[in-house]
Amino acid sequence: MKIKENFLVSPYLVFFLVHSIQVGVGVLGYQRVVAKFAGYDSWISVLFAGMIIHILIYMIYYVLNTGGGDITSIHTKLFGKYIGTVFNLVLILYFAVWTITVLRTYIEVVQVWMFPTLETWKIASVFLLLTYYVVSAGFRTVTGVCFLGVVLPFGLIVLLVFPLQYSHFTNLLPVFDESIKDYIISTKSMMLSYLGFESLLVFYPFVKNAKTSEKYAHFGNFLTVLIYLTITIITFSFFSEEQLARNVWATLSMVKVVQVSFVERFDYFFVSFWCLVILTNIALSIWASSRLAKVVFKVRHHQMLILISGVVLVVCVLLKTRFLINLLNNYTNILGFYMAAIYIPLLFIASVIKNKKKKHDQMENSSAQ
Amino acid sequence: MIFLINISLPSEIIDELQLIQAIGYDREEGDQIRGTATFPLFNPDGTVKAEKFTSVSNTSRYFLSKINTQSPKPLTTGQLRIVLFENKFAEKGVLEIVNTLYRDPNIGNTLHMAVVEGSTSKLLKQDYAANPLAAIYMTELIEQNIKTENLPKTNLHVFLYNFYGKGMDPYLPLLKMGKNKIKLQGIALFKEDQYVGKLNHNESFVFKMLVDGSKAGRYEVKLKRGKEKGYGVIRNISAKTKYHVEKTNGKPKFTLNATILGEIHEYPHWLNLEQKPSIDLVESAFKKEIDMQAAAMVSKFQELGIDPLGLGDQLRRRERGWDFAKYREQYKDMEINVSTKVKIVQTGIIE
Repeated sequence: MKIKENFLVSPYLVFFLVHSIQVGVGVLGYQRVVAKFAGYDSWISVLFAGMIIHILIYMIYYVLNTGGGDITSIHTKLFGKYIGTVFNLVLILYFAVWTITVLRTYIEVVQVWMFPTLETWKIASVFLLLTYYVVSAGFRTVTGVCFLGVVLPFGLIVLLVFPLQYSHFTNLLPVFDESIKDYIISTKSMMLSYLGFESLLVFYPFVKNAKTSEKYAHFGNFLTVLIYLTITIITFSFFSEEQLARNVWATLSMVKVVQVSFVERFDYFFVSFWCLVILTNIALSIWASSRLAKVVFKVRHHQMLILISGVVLVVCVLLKTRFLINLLNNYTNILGFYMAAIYIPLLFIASVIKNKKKKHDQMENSSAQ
Repeated sequence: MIFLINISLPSEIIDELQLIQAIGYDREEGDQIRGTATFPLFNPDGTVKAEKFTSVSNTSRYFLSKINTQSPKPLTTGQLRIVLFENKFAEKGVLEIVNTLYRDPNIGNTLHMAVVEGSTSKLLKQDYAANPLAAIYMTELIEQNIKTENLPKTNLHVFLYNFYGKGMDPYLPLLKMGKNKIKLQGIALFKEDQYVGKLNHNESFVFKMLVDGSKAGRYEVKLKRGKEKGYGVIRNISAKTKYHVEKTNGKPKFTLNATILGEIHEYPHWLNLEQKPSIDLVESAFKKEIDMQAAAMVSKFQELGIDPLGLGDQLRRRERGWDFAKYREQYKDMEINVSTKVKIVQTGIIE
């Protein structure tokens, strides 16, 4: 299946797509989770997890480049019709769950930091209506929103200068003070923050000269790693270890020290501005989920879009407490981890074998002649 | 759409709120808490007046609800600047209150806290000449002293950083009410979350130098040459401390090397600052006094079993697999030496 030229986006936009979906609600409070195991050495895990993502991006490109670009047909080609369909369904579900996690977690932040009495359904429906508006206009609009979602909030990085007046960079010493096992566990928990890049699997056919876009995907991920690393190091120097363990949204707590004459508290500003980032996250993942569903079930795209948005809304409303939201985050983390650590390498290995076999067959054919 | 979400949001209009600026906590009989809150009242003629409510309850937060029953407009904590603890109250521990403040998203991390010698309720009810709002007066007093005097950096974040950090203990400014004014007495030292001791203004100079490094503060030093006696004042231009640790038989030994660059502000007439020996005399007298005071201060910390200088943290940075419990045991009879180097770099615009 070939996508029409006027629906395609330029390869360099992959940079914004990958980066914007990776930076999301995780940035607000991943530090505590990562530092839980490897302590203040876990910045190494942040770096390490980022490197793993680079490898996974390489794998995704290998699979898509050699497999013709459409993930659903690759699934059936590699694993047969039935298992292939199961994979397709899992992928649809995965992006839907991912959307729910991001949206509900962000709504929780809004409820805790700004409006404790605001009901979930109100803010969720506003978000989803907006998402519907963006996604129904097609992938190019989604990409445009992703572009804005990277460029506009970039200025927020300046806010990280303010906590420096309280920083104790010696907190990071001594380096390499934990066991290998701890590094691995914290690398695993860091993965959730980097996830989202798998949407590559879905939007690849929408990229013009998709093969040339690989370097932009790597750049996108590289910027994400850089941002996470900077925030991690600033956070670790700002909080003492046990203090960090108590801060659910460490980045926001850090921004709480920012005081300038015209705005006394920047965390509110940060939370409000972050809704733009969250919108890009949700738009892209809902788009991915509904697009896959469209291809698999052979129905119209916006019907699936409405259906999935409805499911997301209902689940978001049902998740009422911090405990449940935490649970959802943990499960998504596990799901995402297996997605990254097992599913993508599996795809990669299967297509390597397939390609080898193809080459081998061709060689035999040519030698037989 | 924006309109839709707008009408569904609970709005808070600033004219219809009572913005609490300071809260003081005192201990009442039977472990109850007396809370006093002040907020500004803006009069139509442009003047401002502080209004106070006070009430007794079992928890730090419920008293807010109780005083809300006395207030014509809802009370909010969004503009809270300072929280005070009566010394008797702080001796029993402040953690619950501090954590409650920390949990509140409306309250910034730069909130100031202080221990008061005497009743905070009386302190907050008094009117002061310096500023009609006691809360603003105290906040400015503390910030001013952090910048230009002997007070090390303190606020809610710093307190909790030191509290939760292993091998560190927190400290807060110590205030006292005088007639018509509030005075910064020095520094209140905490063991975990309990107020256990204090440093006076003079000792604070040394403390700030050791804990933060400082670019401020004045120190009065006794000078003596032969029969002649007098006092000199030295203004600190820059003071820094380097920590060194040696380990002998598993026991750490600290050497704190402080360097002070100072400027002479005042000196007795019999000194001639154009002559090198006179400068030497000031330097050595200053050094001697600082060394002595630092040694006394460190042994006071050891006696109290507190570590506001963060020596444990210094050790943690240098040591793999640092054992906090063991360090705590060793702390009381650890060898800690302070040695100061003083350099007088300026003598003002006249010689």
